[in-house]
Amino acid sequence: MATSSKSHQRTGEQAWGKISKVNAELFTLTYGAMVMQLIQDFEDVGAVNKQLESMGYNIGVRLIDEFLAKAGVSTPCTDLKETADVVAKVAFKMFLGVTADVSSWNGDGTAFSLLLYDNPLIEFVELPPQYSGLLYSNLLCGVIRGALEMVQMKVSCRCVRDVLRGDDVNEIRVELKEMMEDVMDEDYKEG
Amino acid sequence: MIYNLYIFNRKGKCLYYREWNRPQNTLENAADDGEEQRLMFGMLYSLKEVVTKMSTDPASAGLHALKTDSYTLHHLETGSGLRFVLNTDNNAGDLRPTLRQLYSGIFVEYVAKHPQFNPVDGSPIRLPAFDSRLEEYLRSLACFKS
Repeated sequence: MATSSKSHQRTGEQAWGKISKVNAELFTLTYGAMVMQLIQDFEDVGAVNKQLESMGYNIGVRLIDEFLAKAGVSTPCTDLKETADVVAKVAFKMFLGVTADVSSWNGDGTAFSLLLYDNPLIEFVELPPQYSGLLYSNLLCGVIRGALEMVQMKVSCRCVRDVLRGDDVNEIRVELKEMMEDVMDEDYKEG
Repeated sequence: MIYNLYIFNRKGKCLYYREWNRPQNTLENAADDGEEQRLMFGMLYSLKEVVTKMSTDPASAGLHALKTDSYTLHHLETGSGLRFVLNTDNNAGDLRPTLRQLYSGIFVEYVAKHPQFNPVDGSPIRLPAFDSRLEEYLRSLACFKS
Protein backbone atom coordinates (compact mmCIF):
# COMPACT_ATOMS: atom_id res chain seq x y z
CA MET A 1 0.00 0.00 0.00
CA ALA A 2 1.44 3.33 -1.00
CA THR A 3 0.67 6.58 0.69
CA SER A 4 -1.79 6.75 3.55
CA SER A 5 -4.91 8.84 3.76
CA LYS A 6 -3.33 11.13 6.34
CA SER A 7 -0.47 12.07 4.10
CA HIS A 8 -2.88 12.77 1.24
CA GLN A 9 -4.65 15.15 3.54
CA ARG A 10 -1.37 16.95 4.10
CA THR A 11 -0.56 16.97 0.39
CA GLY A 12 -3.97 18.49 -0.24
CA GLU A 13 -3.40 21.26 2.25
CA GLN A 14 -0.04 22.06 0.75
CA ALA A 15 -1.51 22.16 -2.75
CA TRP A 16 -4.30 24.43 -1.51
CA GLY A 17 -1.71 26.72 0.02
CA LYS A 18 0.16 27.09 -3.25
CA ILE A 19 -2.67 27.56 -5.70
CA SER A 20 -4.09 30.95 -6.66
CA LYS A 21 -7.56 31.67 -5.30
CA VAL A 22 -10.68 33.62 -6.10
CA ASN A 23 -13.18 35.06 -3.67
CA ALA A 24 -15.52 32.28 -2.56
CA GLU A 25 -18.71 34.34 -2.83
CA LEU A 26 -17.80 35.54 -6.30
CA PHE A 27 -17.21 31.94 -7.32
CA THR A 28 -20.49 30.70 -5.84
CA LEU A 29 -22.54 33.53 -7.30
CA THR A 30 -20.94 33.17 -10.73
CA TYR A 31 -21.74 29.48 -10.74
CA GLY A 32 -25.31 30.24 -9.67
CA ALA A 33 -25.71 32.85 -12.41
CA MET A 34 -24.42 30.37 -14.95
CA VAL A 35 -26.86 27.66 -13.86
CA MET A 36 -29.70 30.22 -14.04
CA GLN A 37 -28.65 31.14 -17.56
CA LEU A 38 -28.62 27.48 -18.59
CA ILE A 39 -32.12 27.04 -17.21
CA GLN A 40 -33.31 29.99 -19.25
CA ASP A 41 -31.55 28.76 -22.37
CA PHE A 42 -32.59 25.12 -22.22
CA GLU A 43 -35.91 25.44 -20.36
CA ASP A 44 -35.65 21.78 -19.47
CA VAL A 45 -34.08 20.53 -16.26
CA GLY A 46 -32.84 17.29 -17.80
CA ALA A 47 -31.02 19.16 -20.55
CA VAL A 48 -29.47 21.49 -17.99
CA ASN A 49 -28.22 18.53 -15.96
CA LYS A 50 -26.63 17.11 -19.08
CA GLN A 51 -25.09 20.41 -20.05
CA LEU A 52 -23.59 20.88 -16.60
CA GLU A 53 -22.04 17.43 -16.78
CA SER A 54 -20.58 18.10 -20.18
CA MET A 55 -19.17 21.47 -19.10
CA GLY A 56 -17.61 19.70 -16.14
CA TYR A 57 -16.09 17.11 -18.45
CA ASN A 58 -14.44 19.83 -20.50
CA ILE A 59 -13.04 21.34 -17.32
CA GLY A 60 -11.86 17.96 -16.07
CA VAL A 61 -9.83 17.04 -19.13
CA ARG A 62 -7.82 20.26 -18.73
CA LEU A 63 -7.68 20.46 -14.99
CA ILE A 64 -5.94 17.10 -14.76
CA ASP A 65 -2.70 18.56 -16.10
CA GLU A 66 -2.69 21.33 -13.54
CA PHE A 67 -3.40 18.73 -10.92
CA LEU A 68 -0.61 16.40 -12.02
CA ALA A 69 1.85 19.25 -12.36
CA LYS A 70 1.14 21.02 -9.10
CA ALA A 71 -0.56 18.74 -6.59
CA GLY A 72 2.69 17.13 -5.50
CA VAL A 73 1.36 13.59 -5.69
CA SER A 74 4.62 12.12 -6.84
CA THR A 75 3.85 8.47 -7.51
CA PRO A 76 1.06 7.17 -9.72
CA CYS A 77 -1.92 5.70 -7.87
CA THR A 78 -1.62 1.96 -7.56
CA ASP A 79 -5.30 1.13 -7.27
CA LEU A 80 -8.76 2.65 -7.28
CA LYS A 81 -8.73 2.94 -3.49
CA GLU A 82 -5.79 5.27 -3.65
CA THR A 83 -7.27 7.15 -6.58
CA ALA A 84 -10.47 7.73 -4.62
CA ASP A 85 -8.49 9.01 -1.68
CA VAL A 86 -6.41 11.35 -3.82
CA VAL A 87 -9.53 12.75 -5.49
CA ALA A 88 -11.26 13.28 -2.15
CA LYS A 89 -8.37 14.61 -0.10
CA VAL A 90 -6.04 16.27 -2.60
CA ALA A 91 -8.01 17.25 -5.70
CA PHE A 92 -11.12 18.53 -3.94
CA LYS A 93 -8.96 20.44 -1.50
CA MET A 94 -6.75 21.91 -4.20
CA PHE A 95 -9.54 23.19 -6.43
CA LEU A 96 -12.47 23.78 -4.07
CA GLY A 97 -10.81 24.21 -0.69
CA VAL A 98 -12.80 21.40 0.91
CA THR A 99 -12.22 17.69 1.31
CA ALA A 100 -14.64 14.87 0.70
CA ASP A 101 -15.02 11.53 2.44
CA VAL A 102 -14.76 8.24 0.61
CA SER A 103 -17.33 5.63 1.60
CA SER A 104 -19.72 2.88 0.51
CA TRP A 105 -17.35 0.72 -1.54
CA ASN A 106 -19.09 -2.02 -3.43
CA GLY A 107 -18.08 -5.66 -3.01
CA ASP A 108 -15.47 -5.89 -5.76
CA GLY A 109 -13.98 -2.46 -5.12
CA THR A 110 -15.01 -0.83 -8.39
CA ALA A 111 -17.44 1.78 -7.09
CA PHE A 112 -17.37 4.25 -4.24
CA SER A 113 -19.13 7.34 -3.00
CA LEU A 114 -17.68 10.77 -2.36
CA LEU A 115 -19.44 12.51 0.50
CA LEU A 116 -19.24 16.26 0.39
CA TYR A 117 -20.35 17.84 3.65
CA ASP A 118 -19.31 21.31 2.75
CA ASN A 119 -20.07 22.03 -0.89
CA PRO A 120 -19.04 25.59 -1.81
CA LEU A 121 -21.21 25.54 -4.94
CA ILE A 122 -24.48 25.46 -3.00
CA GLU A 123 -23.84 28.27 -0.55
CA PHE A 124 -26.84 30.71 -0.62
CA VAL A 125 -28.77 28.40 -2.94
CA GLU A 126 -32.36 27.29 -2.58
CA LEU A 127 -34.04 25.12 -5.14
CA PRO A 128 -37.56 26.27 -6.09
CA PRO A 129 -40.05 23.36 -6.21
CA GLN A 130 -40.46 23.49 -10.00
CA TYR A 131 -36.75 22.74 -10.38
CA SER A 132 -36.66 19.84 -7.97
CA GLY A 133 -35.16 17.63 -10.69
CA LEU A 134 -32.16 19.89 -11.11
CA LEU A 135 -28.80 18.35 -10.23
CA TYR A 136 -27.28 21.64 -9.24
CA SER A 137 -23.77 20.31 -8.63
CA ASN A 138 -23.73 17.97 -11.61
CA LEU A 139 -20.72 19.87 -12.95
CA LEU A 140 -18.60 18.10 -10.34
CA CYS A 141 -19.56 14.72 -11.80
CA GLY A 142 -18.33 15.84 -15.19
CA VAL A 143 -15.07 17.17 -13.79
CA ILE A 144 -14.31 13.85 -12.12
CA ARG A 145 -15.21 11.88 -15.22
CA GLY A 146 -13.09 14.09 -17.50
CA ALA A 147 -10.07 14.17 -15.24
CA LEU A 148 -10.01 10.42 -14.63
CA GLU A 149 -10.50 9.69 -18.31
CA MET A 150 -7.24 11.50 -19.04
CA VAL A 151 -5.46 9.09 -16.72
CA GLN A 152 -7.02 6.09 -18.46
CA MET A 153 -9.93 5.40 -16.15
CA LYS A 154 -13.36 5.38 -17.63
CA VAL A 155 -15.81 6.11 -14.85
CA SER A 156 -19.43 7.10 -14.57
CA CYS A 157 -20.45 9.62 -11.93
CA ARG A 158 -23.82 10.70 -10.68
CA CYS A 159 -25.22 12.75 -7.85
CA VAL A 160 -27.22 10.40 -5.67
CA ARG A 161 -27.82 12.64 -2.69
CA ASP A 162 -28.07 16.39 -2.71
CA VAL A 163 -28.47 18.78 0.20
CA LEU A 164 -30.53 21.08 -2.02
CA ARG A 165 -33.05 18.32 -2.51
CA GLY A 166 -33.41 17.65 1.19
CA ASP A 167 -30.67 15.08 1.85
CA ASP A 168 -28.22 15.59 4.66
CA VAL A 169 -25.11 15.34 2.49
CA ASN A 170 -23.97 15.63 -1.12
CA GLU A 171 -23.08 12.20 -2.41
CA ILE A 172 -21.43 11.51 -5.74
CA ARG A 173 -21.33 7.90 -6.80
CA VAL A 174 -18.28 7.00 -8.88
CA GLU A 175 -18.20 3.73 -10.75
CA LEU A 176 -15.19 2.40 -12.62
CA LYS A 177 -16.21 1.10 -16.04
CA GLU A 178 -12.85 0.12 -17.45
CA MET A 179 -9.16 0.82 -17.40
CA MET A 180 -8.39 2.18 -20.84
CA GLU A 181 -5.46 0.87 -22.88
CA ASP A 182 -3.01 3.09 -24.70
CA VAL A 183 -4.19 3.19 -28.28
CA MET A 184 -2.01 4.71 -30.93
CA ASP A 185 -3.35 7.09 -33.50
CA GLU A 186 -4.42 5.90 -36.94
CA ASP A 187 -1.24 7.35 -38.45
CA TYR A 188 0.59 4.41 -36.93
CA LYS A 189 -1.52 1.66 -38.45
CA GLU A 190 0.45 -0.48 -40.85
CA GLY A 191 -0.69 0.48 -44.31
CA MET B 1 23.14 23.05 -26.81
CA ILE B 2 19.42 22.50 -27.29
CA TYR B 3 18.42 20.99 -30.62
CA ASN B 4 14.70 20.49 -30.69
CA LEU B 5 11.52 19.81 -28.74
CA TYR B 6 8.57 17.54 -29.37
CA ILE B 7 5.34 17.32 -27.40
CA PHE B 8 3.28 14.20 -28.05
CA ASN B 9 -0.10 13.20 -26.67
CA ARG B 10 -0.95 9.71 -25.52
CA LYS B 11 -1.96 8.56 -28.96
CA GLY B 12 1.28 9.70 -30.56
CA LYS B 13 -0.03 12.84 -32.22
CA CYS B 14 2.70 15.42 -32.29
CA LEU B 15 1.09 18.45 -30.66
CA TYR B 16 4.10 20.66 -30.92
CA TYR B 17 7.48 20.76 -32.61
CA ARG B 18 10.18 23.42 -32.45
CA GLU B 19 13.82 23.35 -33.37
CA TRP B 20 16.73 25.62 -32.58
CA ASN B 21 20.32 24.60 -33.15
CA ARG B 22 19.78 21.63 -35.34
CA PRO B 23 22.83 20.69 -37.37
CA GLN B 24 21.41 17.78 -39.28
CA ASN B 25 17.92 18.41 -40.43
CA THR B 26 15.78 15.61 -41.69
CA LEU B 27 12.77 17.89 -41.89
CA GLU B 28 14.24 19.89 -44.74
CA ASN B 29 13.40 16.90 -46.79
CA ALA B 30 9.95 17.91 -47.99
CA ALA B 31 8.81 14.32 -48.39
CA ASP B 32 9.12 13.73 -44.65
CA ASP B 33 5.52 14.64 -43.82
CA GLY B 34 5.68 13.89 -40.12
CA GLU B 35 7.61 10.66 -40.66
CA GLU B 36 10.36 11.68 -38.29
CA GLN B 37 7.85 12.50 -35.58
CA ARG B 38 6.18 9.15 -36.01
CA LEU B 39 9.50 7.37 -35.80
CA MET B 40 10.36 9.28 -32.66
CA PHE B 41 7.10 8.40 -30.96
CA GLY B 42 7.24 4.83 -32.19
CA MET B 43 10.65 4.44 -30.63
CA LEU B 44 9.55 5.91 -27.31
CA TYR B 45 6.47 3.74 -27.30
CA SER B 46 8.46 0.55 -27.87
CA LEU B 47 11.11 1.62 -25.42
CA LYS B 48 8.46 2.09 -22.78
CA GLU B 49 7.32 -1.50 -23.27
CA VAL B 50 10.87 -2.74 -22.78
CA VAL B 51 11.55 -0.46 -19.84
CA THR B 52 8.35 -1.54 -18.10
CA LYS B 53 9.05 -5.22 -18.69
CA MET B 54 12.59 -4.98 -17.37
CA SER B 55 11.76 -2.93 -14.31
CA THR B 56 11.39 -4.54 -10.91
CA ASP B 57 8.60 -2.11 -10.16
CA PRO B 58 6.47 -1.63 -13.28
CA ALA B 59 4.54 1.21 -11.65
CA SER B 60 7.57 3.46 -11.56
CA ALA B 61 9.40 2.75 -14.76
CA GLY B 62 9.76 6.05 -16.55
CA LEU B 63 12.35 6.73 -19.22
CA HIS B 64 14.52 9.67 -18.19
CA ALA B 65 17.00 10.06 -20.99
CA LEU B 66 18.59 8.32 -23.91
CA LYS B 67 22.16 9.02 -24.85
CA THR B 68 24.07 8.40 -28.04
CA ASP B 69 27.55 9.45 -29.14
CA SER B 70 26.26 12.70 -30.54
CA TYR B 71 23.15 13.71 -28.62
CA THR B 72 21.01 13.18 -25.54
CA LEU B 73 17.25 12.79 -25.61
CA HIS B 74 15.54 14.01 -22.44
CA HIS B 75 12.12 12.57 -21.79
CA LEU B 76 9.23 13.31 -19.45
CA GLU B 77 5.95 11.43 -19.58
CA THR B 78 3.06 12.82 -17.53
CA GLY B 79 0.20 10.94 -15.93
CA SER B 80 -2.08 12.36 -18.56
CA GLY B 81 0.01 10.68 -21.26
CA LEU B 82 1.79 13.75 -22.56
CA ARG B 83 5.41 13.27 -23.55
CA PHE B 84 7.92 16.07 -23.57
CA VAL B 85 11.02 15.23 -25.58
CA LEU B 86 14.01 17.56 -25.67
CA ASN B 87 17.10 16.75 -27.70
CA THR B 88 20.41 18.34 -26.76
CA ASP B 89 24.12 17.74 -27.16
CA ASN B 90 25.86 15.61 -24.54
CA ASN B 91 26.98 18.48 -22.32
CA ALA B 92 23.56 19.68 -21.19
CA GLY B 93 23.40 17.63 -17.98
CA ASP B 94 20.19 16.40 -16.40
CA LEU B 95 17.25 18.32 -17.86
CA ARG B 96 14.43 16.53 -16.03
CA PRO B 97 13.81 19.54 -13.77
CA THR B 98 13.74 21.71 -16.88
CA LEU B 99 11.13 19.49 -18.50
CA ARG B 100 9.09 19.52 -15.30
CA GLN B 101 9.19 23.29 -15.20
CA LEU B 102 8.23 23.37 -18.85
CA TYR B 103 5.20 21.23 -18.03
CA SER B 104 3.99 22.83 -14.81
CA GLY B 105 5.12 26.40 -15.33
CA ILE B 106 4.57 26.88 -19.04
CA PHE B 107 2.42 24.14 -20.57
CA VAL B 108 -0.22 24.20 -17.83
CA GLU B 109 -0.38 27.99 -17.66
CA TYR B 110 -0.25 28.81 -21.35
CA VAL B 111 -1.73 25.74 -23.04
CA ALA B 112 -3.94 23.72 -20.69
CA LYS B 113 -5.72 26.87 -19.51
CA HIS B 114 -6.16 28.25 -23.01
CA PRO B 115 -9.67 27.86 -24.43
CA GLN B 116 -8.36 27.02 -27.89
CA PHE B 117 -6.46 24.00 -26.67
CA ASN B 118 -8.38 20.76 -26.93
CA PRO B 119 -6.82 18.02 -24.80
CA VAL B 120 -8.97 15.30 -26.33
CA ASP B 121 -8.72 15.58 -30.12
CA GLY B 122 -4.95 16.04 -30.37
CA SER B 123 -4.95 19.09 -32.60
CA PRO B 124 -1.59 20.91 -32.83
CA ILE B 125 -0.81 23.70 -30.40
CA ARG B 126 -0.71 27.07 -32.14
CA LEU B 127 -0.57 29.63 -29.37
CA PRO B 128 1.75 32.63 -29.75
CA ALA B 129 1.93 33.31 -26.00
CA PHE B 130 3.13 29.76 -25.41
CA ASP B 131 5.71 30.08 -28.22
CA SER B 132 7.24 33.20 -26.80
CA ARG B 133 7.22 32.06 -23.19
CA LEU B 134 8.82 28.76 -24.16
CA GLU B 135 11.43 30.51 -26.29
CA GLU B 136 12.26 32.90 -23.47
CA TYR B 137 12.59 30.09 -20.96
CA LEU B 138 14.79 27.82 -23.06
CA ARG B 139 17.02 30.69 -24.16
CA SER B 140 17.56 31.61 -20.52
CA LEU B 141 19.09 28.21 -19.83
CA ALA B 142 22.86 27.94 -19.61
CA CYS B 143 22.83 24.93 -21.90
CA PHE B 144 20.87 26.59 -24.71
CA LYS B 145 23.75 27.78 -26.87
CA SER B 146 26.89 26.47 -25.28
